[in-house]
Amino acid sequence: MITSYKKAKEDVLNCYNEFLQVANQVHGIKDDRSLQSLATQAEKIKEDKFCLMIAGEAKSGKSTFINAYLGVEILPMDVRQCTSSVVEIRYGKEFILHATFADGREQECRGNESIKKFLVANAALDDEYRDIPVTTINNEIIVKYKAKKIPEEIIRDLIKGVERENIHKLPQDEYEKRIRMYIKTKQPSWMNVVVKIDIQYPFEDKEMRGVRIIDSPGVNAAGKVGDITATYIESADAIMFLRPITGVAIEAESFKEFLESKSVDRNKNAMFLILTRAAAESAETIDRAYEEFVKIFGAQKTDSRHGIAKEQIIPVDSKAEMYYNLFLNLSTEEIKGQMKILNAEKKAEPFLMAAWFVAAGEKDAFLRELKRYSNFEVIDQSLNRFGRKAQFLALSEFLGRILRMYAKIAANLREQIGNYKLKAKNPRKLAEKVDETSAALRDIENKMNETVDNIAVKYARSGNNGIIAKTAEEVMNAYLNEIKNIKGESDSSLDELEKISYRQVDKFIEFENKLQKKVVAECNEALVALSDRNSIEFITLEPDFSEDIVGEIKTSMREEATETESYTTGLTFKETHYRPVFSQHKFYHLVKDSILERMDEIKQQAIRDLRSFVQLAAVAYTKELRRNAEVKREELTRIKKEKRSADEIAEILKKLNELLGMINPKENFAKELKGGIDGNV
Amino acid sequence: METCNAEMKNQVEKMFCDLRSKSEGIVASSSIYKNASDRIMKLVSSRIAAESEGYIVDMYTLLTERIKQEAFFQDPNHLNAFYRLNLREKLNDKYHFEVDSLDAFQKGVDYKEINRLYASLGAAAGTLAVGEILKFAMSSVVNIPFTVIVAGAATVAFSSYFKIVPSRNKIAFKKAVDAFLSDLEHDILNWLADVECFFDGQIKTLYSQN
Repeated sequence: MITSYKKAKEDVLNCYNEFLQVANQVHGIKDDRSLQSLATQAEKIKEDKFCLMIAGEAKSGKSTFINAYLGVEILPMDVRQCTSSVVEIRYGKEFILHATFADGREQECRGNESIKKFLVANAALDDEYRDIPVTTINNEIIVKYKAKKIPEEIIRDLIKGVERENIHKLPQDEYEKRIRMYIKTKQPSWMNVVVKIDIQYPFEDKEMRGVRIIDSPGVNAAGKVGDITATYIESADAIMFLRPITGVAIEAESFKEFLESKSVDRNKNAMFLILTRAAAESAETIDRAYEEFVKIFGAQKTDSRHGIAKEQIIPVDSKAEMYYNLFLNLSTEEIKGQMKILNAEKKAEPFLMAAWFVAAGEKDAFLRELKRYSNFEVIDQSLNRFGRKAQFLALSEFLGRILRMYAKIAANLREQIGNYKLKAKNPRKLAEKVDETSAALRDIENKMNETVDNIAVKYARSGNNGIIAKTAEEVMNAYLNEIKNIKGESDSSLDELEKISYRQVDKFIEFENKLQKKVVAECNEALVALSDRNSIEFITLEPDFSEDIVGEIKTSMREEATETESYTTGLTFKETHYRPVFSQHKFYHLVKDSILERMDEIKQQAIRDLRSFVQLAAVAYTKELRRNAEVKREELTRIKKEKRSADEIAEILKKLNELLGMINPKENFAKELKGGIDGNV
Repeated sequence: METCNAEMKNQVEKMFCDLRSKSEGIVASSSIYKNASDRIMKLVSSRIAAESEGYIVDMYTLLTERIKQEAFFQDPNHLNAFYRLNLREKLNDKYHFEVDSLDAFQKGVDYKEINRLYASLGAAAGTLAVGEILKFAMSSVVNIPFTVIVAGAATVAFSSYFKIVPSRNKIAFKKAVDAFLSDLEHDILNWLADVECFFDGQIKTLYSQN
């Protein structure tokens, strides 16, 4: 089993380079479509990006964690952070911050000082409003209503909705007064609310260059996130939810609710619960808290929800990691000096002193102790194991295609060797063989066209007669049954309805993906059967239907949008978001009817897409098959027509056999590598 | 000319029967005219767009089955030449409805804009019948999404009801919807006949080559 993504990626790319060495020596392969798409895929693997989303309540130590993880201090940690916007951090040649304001204005800052100044000015929370959920108010009211008058009903709904966020337990009237005061003072300057911050940083660590970090504005106590944050959550490769290991009641709902939220529900990738500030606690406290978290959240592992496995709950200490990063490049003497200063200024945390004591002034031992406290190594291991699934799958698929190409090249070489041998022995026999093979290829083409026609009609015929329409009907009926049980009166009814509806859309997409594979598999099955009846090897005719080629078909099917986007960005789903999340229950029935009609449209759209896919796949399959058959025919004719002496043929045969001999060990290496990666996913 | 294939006729009839009953439900449950016509247009265009894909598959299969019975195509070389005509692809390209997306509806139907588009198309095609306009849109460089064509046809059909209070005119409105659907049904059958005609024309080129 291979668990280090970095190592696996390196091995796979080496394997590809070895493959190219073979491919470059094969005659007539340069124009091969599979070879071209392998090259594209290799580029993608080289440049792959990993999107890590960081979520958590305010004061959960997000900025410190991000700085520690990235190994550089990008976000200010000494202010009470309260960005209402998403902060996206990625690699760039220079340290640049790009901010977008609520009115669409943009601002750019360059360099350490200017960026820090901007972040402190725009992200620090006014002390006066430290007791109220400013992020929620900004996102739900200020940014949405801009200069427009905010209806009293909406403000009342908001106040009711944020009752649970009164974390400092202010008297209700005082809490409400402060919220109203905040809205009154802030609304006139709504345009100055920052809605998006992009930061580019020239990371020295090459590993970090492919990582994109999304720092979300704090989730509120009810686990809710803003619309913009939700979009990011849906597409993140991994999500880390941060919360202090102690100090906040474990049973606090925010994480649980966050897990249940519709945007998290839509992301099938890995979710981690990161328990921060672990170094300040005793081993016993950490163990107890950890077990408690496992008990509460580990139990949620159901099919349709995000479950948190034990290994995905990780106690860490960001400060310990930051000290590690700081001391890593210092000499022992310099560390001693730093420790003295920290101690004199009474800034040294107890764990730091303890680590220093255990290490007895020895740098390596000190760093090991700090790593033990920080526990960040476990994050990397877990990310590799749970968060890189899509990337590992891409590597496996890539290797699978290399293996198919090896098999195809080997089969072609064997055929060529056979034909040259025949040419040397009995040229007339070769001419006969060319005619026979041509006729066999024509028959295979005819039969395959017929088979593809049958498959197309089986799936895509009109009315309720084809598999597509029938299945769409079944999926729709299951959905109607599911939503029948939602009680429209409850607070979470609309959220529930949307969640089920989104899942429904995913089911259509899932069905589409399954069907694509099934159609191609059925075609291949028929082709294998036909090839078996002839002496032609299946692999040399098999049309390439890898994911990117299927992707090309889908693009030609719909030029403008990906189906997921057009399925889910319809007005009906968005409509609910124009209202504050707290008023949703009032609109339940109104929205439900509208969603049902939209669902029917989505069903029709899915049917249409699927039928269209089957049609285009049928066209592509037969065309590709014809092309492969044509190549084979040309190759045969070429060998037949070539004027070669016996010595020349012997020389060619020697070269072909050498090439064939090269393939086997390389093929085995790729097979082993694939086996190791598959063991991981 | 409508398609004479009974099986296809039956399929189209079934779909329109369902559309009629669903539209009737919409007329009955809506109190705002604009709302009702929006919903009917969405229903009709999304359904026809989905079914049209199935019709092309059905037509191709029916017509291919038919020609394969002919003695000429018993010769594997002739059959191969038929497959190499790529008729599935040609039908798909020529008769594929462009439904870019249902954006027009999601952003709210702009009646004036649709009316203007449809009327200009109608003027160019010389008729306001959907089928003819479809044919025209397909045969020329004009690229108008199918939904806009249906919406345009519906707007033309329902235009006299725009300013009338629907509660007093539900029966009349329902009649207009029925008439619109009947026209559309007729046009879809014509469109299928056109598919058949094109297919046969292509097959003729094979005979003439031999």
